[in-house]
Amino acid sequence: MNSDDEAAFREFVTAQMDQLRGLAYLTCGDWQLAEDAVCTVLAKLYTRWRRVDRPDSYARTMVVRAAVDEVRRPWWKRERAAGDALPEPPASDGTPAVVDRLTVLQALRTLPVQQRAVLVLRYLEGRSVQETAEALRCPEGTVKTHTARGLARLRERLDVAEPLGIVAVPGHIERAS
Amino acid sequence: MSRNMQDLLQEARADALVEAPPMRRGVDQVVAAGRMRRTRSRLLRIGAGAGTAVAVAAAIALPHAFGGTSAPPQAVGAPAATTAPAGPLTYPSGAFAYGITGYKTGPFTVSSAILVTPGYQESYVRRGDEMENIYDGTKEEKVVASAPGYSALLTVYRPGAFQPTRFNGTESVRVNGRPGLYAAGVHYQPGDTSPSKGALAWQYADGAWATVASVTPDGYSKAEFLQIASGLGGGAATTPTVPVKLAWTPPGYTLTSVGATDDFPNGGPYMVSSVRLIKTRPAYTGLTATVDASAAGSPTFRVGVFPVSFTDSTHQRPGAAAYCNSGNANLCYRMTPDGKYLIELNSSGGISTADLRRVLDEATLADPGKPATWFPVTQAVPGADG
Repeated sequence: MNSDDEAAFREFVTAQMDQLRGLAYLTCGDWQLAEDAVCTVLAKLYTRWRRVDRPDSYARTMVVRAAVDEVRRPWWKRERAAGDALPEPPASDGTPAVVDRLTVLQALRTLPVQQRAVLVLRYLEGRSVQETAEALRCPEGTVKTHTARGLARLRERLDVAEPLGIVAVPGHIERAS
Repeated sequence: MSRNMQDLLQEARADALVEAPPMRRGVDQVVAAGRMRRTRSRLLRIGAGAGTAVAVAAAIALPHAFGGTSAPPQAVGAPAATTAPAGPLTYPSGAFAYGITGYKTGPFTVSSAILVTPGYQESYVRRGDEMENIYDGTKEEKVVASAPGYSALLTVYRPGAFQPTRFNGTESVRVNGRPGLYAAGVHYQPGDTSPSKGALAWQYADGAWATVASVTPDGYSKAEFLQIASGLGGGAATTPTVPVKLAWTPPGYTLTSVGATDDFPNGGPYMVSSVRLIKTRPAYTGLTATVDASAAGSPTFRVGVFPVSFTDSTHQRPGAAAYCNSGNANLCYRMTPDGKYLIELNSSGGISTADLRRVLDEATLADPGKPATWFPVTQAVPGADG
């Protein structure tokens, strides 16, 4: 990597690292695993910097996938630095806004990690079913199933309207024309 | 109030980040991890890819003179790894000569030297049939080629150049009757926080140390390190060769390393060859680990040779003349006449663009694809014979 590339890479990491960590956290629900996932993906991206056309899109997709992998991977195989676990965020201060967001996060945590990953990619990242399936290396039918079941479970806990243009029924989801 | 899922997730992420604990790692740690990862994968060879991927892999395999798909990585112009008994290693007197002969011991294949500095020479260690993959860089991460990989680095220091202070208090061992130290928690480089740790340091001759260190998370056992160390031998002093002969270099710069790839730890996985010159050469004495000359604080430049397949098309300008990067005054290029390789000159600053261009314009190029045509580095860089 020449100095041009490294400077561009550093700029990219500085700008994106925090948002990527948030994406990973929503997926895996653990700040330390989220950081591990982000650092693993960015280190990989460093080696492929010249060969990735859209590093932002690549990184977001890979971070969600890595966050899923981190959750599934036995702890002794995780690529992480030695050290104590990160401290957990402070508890709710009881205000309505804090309660709201904690409710969303808590609701997300009740979902299997694969369902969380599907919802994050589909609705936060705006990926299509096909793109989400490619990112998570699973059949499109699985994405549709996870989407429908994930939404159904969240609806049990949250007051969630259907996203614009999306029609969901249990076990199936398709884009409205 | 009813909200859609995208809003909820965006709010949840934003709010979560407000209360997120501080990250333990920053940009520097990410870059360091990327460098380590890249170094682990910089040996490439023809794999099972197709189309351009095969052409790419073939192009970079040749200069590294692999003896075959199962052969070890090997320095340019060096003999193949052998199981024949090698003689005791005598460190060459020349600043840029090496004496490590490739060898095999048990499941391990050790290359001959792939990096030479005035203070040490370095080889790759491959365990069994380890392979490294080349990915296409897309989100699908398709493997386009596989190559023999390596998982440890053997570093043989010039007598008196190394001090094993990082091994203080670790387990004492014997290697061929000589003292050594084994440390499960020592990394190849200080400051590395990756799981790739474990190292052995031992005296291969009186007052002369060598180390072998794991550079992948799989790690090595003490017994494995000892087996590798026990097999170390040497041959005749050999001068590395390079495909670029520099007739003129900016005043005051001197050669600090020559590599079959790049100078570690900034190794470039796609590089065919490199030389690094520096204004004030590191002392290469009292070393506790290998040297990153690019971060030594002295103005430096590196001449590297890449297959064009691994370079940006915007940097390719066939023809004999050197040209420079329009957006970076410290980068100049020149292509080989056949258009297959790009020579890149990358300066840390302090050298005019005109001088950088002059370095390349006045250089003589061998065929990077034919190592037999290359130049001994002592003749290829002014003042490199000492």
